[in-house]
Amino acid sequence: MNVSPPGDFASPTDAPARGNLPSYPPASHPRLDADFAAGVFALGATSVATQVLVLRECLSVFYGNELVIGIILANWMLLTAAGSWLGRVSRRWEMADGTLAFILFILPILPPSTLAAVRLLRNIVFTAGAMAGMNEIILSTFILLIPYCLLSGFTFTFISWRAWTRSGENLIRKVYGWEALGSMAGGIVFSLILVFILKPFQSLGIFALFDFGVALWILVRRGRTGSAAILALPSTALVCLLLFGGLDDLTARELFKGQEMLLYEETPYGTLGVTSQSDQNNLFENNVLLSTSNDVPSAEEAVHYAMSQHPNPHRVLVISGGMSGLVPEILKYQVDRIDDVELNPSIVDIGRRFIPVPADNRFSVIAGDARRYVATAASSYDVVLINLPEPGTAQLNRYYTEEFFESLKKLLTNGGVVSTSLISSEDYMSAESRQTHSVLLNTLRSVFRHAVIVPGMRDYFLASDGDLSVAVASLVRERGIATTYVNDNYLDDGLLKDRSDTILRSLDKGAPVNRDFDPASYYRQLLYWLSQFREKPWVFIGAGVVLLALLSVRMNAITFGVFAGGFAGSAVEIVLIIAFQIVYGYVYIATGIMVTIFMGGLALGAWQNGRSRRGTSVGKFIALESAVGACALFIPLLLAGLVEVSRHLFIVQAGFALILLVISFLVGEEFAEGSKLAKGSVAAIASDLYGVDLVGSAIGALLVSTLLIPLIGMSTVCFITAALSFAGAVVTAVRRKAYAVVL
Amino acid sequence: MKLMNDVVLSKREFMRTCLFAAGGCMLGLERLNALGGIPGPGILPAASDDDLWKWSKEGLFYVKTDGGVLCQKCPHGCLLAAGEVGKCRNRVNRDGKMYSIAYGNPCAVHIDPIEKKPLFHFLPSTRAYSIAAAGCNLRCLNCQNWQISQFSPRETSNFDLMPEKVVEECLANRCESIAYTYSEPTTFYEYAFDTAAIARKNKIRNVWKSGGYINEEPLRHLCKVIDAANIDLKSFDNDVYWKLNEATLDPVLRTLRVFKEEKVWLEITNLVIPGWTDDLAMIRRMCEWLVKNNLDECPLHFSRFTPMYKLNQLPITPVSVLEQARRIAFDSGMHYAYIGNVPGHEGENTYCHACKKLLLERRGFTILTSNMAKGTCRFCGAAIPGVWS
Repeated sequence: MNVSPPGDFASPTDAPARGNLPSYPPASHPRLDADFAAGVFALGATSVATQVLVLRECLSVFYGNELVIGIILANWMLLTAAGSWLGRVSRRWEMADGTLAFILFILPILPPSTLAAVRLLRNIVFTAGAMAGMNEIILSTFILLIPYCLLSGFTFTFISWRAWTRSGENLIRKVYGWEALGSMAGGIVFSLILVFILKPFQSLGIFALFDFGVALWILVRRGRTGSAAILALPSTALVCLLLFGGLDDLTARELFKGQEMLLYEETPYGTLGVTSQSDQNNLFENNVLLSTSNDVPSAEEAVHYAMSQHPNPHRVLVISGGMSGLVPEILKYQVDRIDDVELNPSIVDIGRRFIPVPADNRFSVIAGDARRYVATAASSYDVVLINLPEPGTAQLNRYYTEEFFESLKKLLTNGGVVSTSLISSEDYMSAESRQTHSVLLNTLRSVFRHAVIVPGMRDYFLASDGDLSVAVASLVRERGIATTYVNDNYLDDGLLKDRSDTILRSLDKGAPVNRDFDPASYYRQLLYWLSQFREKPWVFIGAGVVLLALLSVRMNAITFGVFAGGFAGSAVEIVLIIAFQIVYGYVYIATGIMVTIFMGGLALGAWQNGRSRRGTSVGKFIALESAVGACALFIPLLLAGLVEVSRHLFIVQAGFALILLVISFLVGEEFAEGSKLAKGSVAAIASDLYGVDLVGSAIGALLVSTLLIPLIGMSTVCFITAALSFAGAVVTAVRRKAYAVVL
Repeated sequence: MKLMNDVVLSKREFMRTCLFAAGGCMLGLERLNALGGIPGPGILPAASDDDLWKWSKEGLFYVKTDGGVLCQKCPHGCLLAAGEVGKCRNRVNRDGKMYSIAYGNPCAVHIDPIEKKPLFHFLPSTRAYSIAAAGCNLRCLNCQNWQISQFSPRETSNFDLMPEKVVEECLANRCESIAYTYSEPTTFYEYAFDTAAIARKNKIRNVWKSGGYINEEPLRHLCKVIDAANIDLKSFDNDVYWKLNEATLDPVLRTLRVFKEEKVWLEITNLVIPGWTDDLAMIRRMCEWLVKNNLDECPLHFSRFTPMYKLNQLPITPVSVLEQARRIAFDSGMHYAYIGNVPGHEGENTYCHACKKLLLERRGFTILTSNMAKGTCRFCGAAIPGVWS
């Protein structure tokens, strides 16, 4: 229950006597030594790039949904927290001034090693071509992240401690501030520049170059030019290997054993791979097959089920899938225009190079977010074909909501038809499929007069205000469309109707409607995905609960406050990013900017706290906790207002940026204030606060995105976040006497 | 050493702090309940208790041992101690007896064209009343029906359809056959056997769609009531069988031979999965073995793989690979080889094994042209193996 375990000050030799502990307010504003500032800046920058790259790699190699993202982030934060806790031993070591430099030499070697391990071991440790199980994902990402996260967490505490021993001041807030600043800078450089021009190993080469540079500079500054000269050569060699060694293609080839890899490209929206096998080209997005040069039945189902419903389809909107062989099928009708909206512009470029796409001036590709396009388009359409994966993530859920279908309806001509699909449950509807199907059908029926399900290789949901029929074979015959698969030879309309009726009968009419800010689909899709694994991760859930219980018992008013702050920070960040995508559409750069604003706000908060001449007080900490809570309470109001002003781009962006900046500023300052209030050795404070901040963020990220938003909606998530922060304020208020500063 | 101004949170304060968070979780839990949903009409809710139920029946083919009951249905040979459930998830040891808990409770009931099984030489263009109970003795990474095969009947929503009722429904829907399919009929053996016996009396044929992982004695017993079988020969490599399906090759090969000996009409399906079962040398060995074991008259279907269930990071099988496999089959001496899951491909057609002329021009379940008369080739008069009426 103590902040610092007994024995923290056991030896009078390894720490100044208690009487020497710094008292506040400080006489002056001590600065963090330049080499510590540079070191922790480099740590922040490298960590943010590593996190993004390893996350992307794991998502593409394992599976990309909110739960897997949450697991990886939780492992990341947990291990970094553990590393910061291990950093406490640094106060027992008599370390030379050059230790930080040596850490900075080792640090940048770890991310490329982790990345290479993910790719090379993918098909050795796990079954080739098969999705890894839940337990495997949890365990393997945990093991993969151990080296980097432990070292980076360790370094934070180490620097905080060394800064104190050198200056006699508690400079945790400065260390925190510089780390946040480094994260912000690293984030900007990586997500706004490097990702567009370099491959992952090359990007890591740039960060390695920076880290090595800082390390050499520290060594030279500390007069250890000999060590610097010796280390300069291998570090230059490593940077060259990362930048020019072709490691990206070399390791990517291992992911597609047995296929000839024609291309493997990182795009801001995901990894695209093109392989060739025999006479067939395959286009993969995040290792999942997106399209094949020769898959006629899928293309026919995606097009003719919907197109044949309309007596005279002239204008067709395709939402993703122009590269999946849909266009030749659409052109079998007398169409005037086909618009294909693709989120990832690279898919179009790469697809055109490797997958035959007919050159027809009626077909045009619009690069951008379909949600945004539909909200602003001036055109009207007879048929809309949505060819997207299941609503398994918050991002994809946006295309399955009532609001989206309502805006689609505005583009539809009289009797226009919309088609969307889910994984087929042709032979049997499990409880999980029933839920995913029920929500989608209810959502469509809340907007359109008619909605039917045509079962096939996927289950197609057709919706329209006009009449719809499941007898697609007859419709195609009547329209005189020549097809290979969607016809009387392969589909018996009577049997199709029976199967469709069986599905409809089994659905739950009381299932909720999927809404933007109350997303009912993606949690259900997650449950469906989870039902594939017989082995449930109870061991890990149990371990998590035990860890959390241990942590709660050890928490005090200050650490609880910082924990709540970490939770609030990541919860609000996630809510705002998802809300922004809903209102404005997914824009890669916008997401990058939002993350940058968040990191910048943290740094600014910590920095401002360091400059503040008002000194420290429990009252201020309580005020900050309450302010974080108030901010969280304000967000539902913002969300409600957003829908009204969604057409005014500037207001939307400014609103989001401002609230994000304010809350991250408060969280940053709260951390800084907490670091001054907390009792114990600097090493213990640094590891405790950094640790609970990370654990709070991890829980926020995992719980909010996977469970809370889909179950209780975004507004309630904000209320809970606020409640947690207010609870922190109440606890601190109750315990305020314990933290009264003795001047 | 304890610090003077240690800050300790009392248990009560901690509880109070957690109250807010707990409140939030409660909100979540309340919504969680809504996810169960209500089953549709005719569908029974999944049960979870361990007791025997209406759909339990003492199983065939087991022996009692000191360690429990030893199931002899399939080569896994599960030894079930009291209360234990077999690998197939629907065989249990209760009171020292082995029971099937999948008797009369199919979770999937549909009418399918017989070509969908696939059976191309068995009553073409007829319909099969198809049933399946949950459970399977294999663990295929690419299972199309994982939602029923990898679960127990206690976890699925089931129909109440005892054998007599299945036959009644089949007759009412004017289906020529009953197919035991989708999951793995070996695991609902007793239900399938009793249904098939009643069907026979009503002049309805019985079709067995299976992975063929079954012991010889139950298989020979089964052959008394089964008219046609389509067996998945998932690969011709024991190692691949183990990794891909958690089974072994030899018992499946024995199943093929027994069906042939017992004169049950047999067709074989080989799913060609890129990187797993697309080794053409292996396919050649498989075809040569089939010919050597007098199975050359059994139609062999090379089926196209699409990413499915856990095997979702692979490409679709290139058509040219299926074409090569088919050519290898013909070269090895197989009389009838087909390509499945590639609509419109000429590999769906039937060509006379003797004169090589087009006998049946087939698209899905539709025969566009027929050059057969009474089971013989109109051109050369050769008898075409199969059950044609």
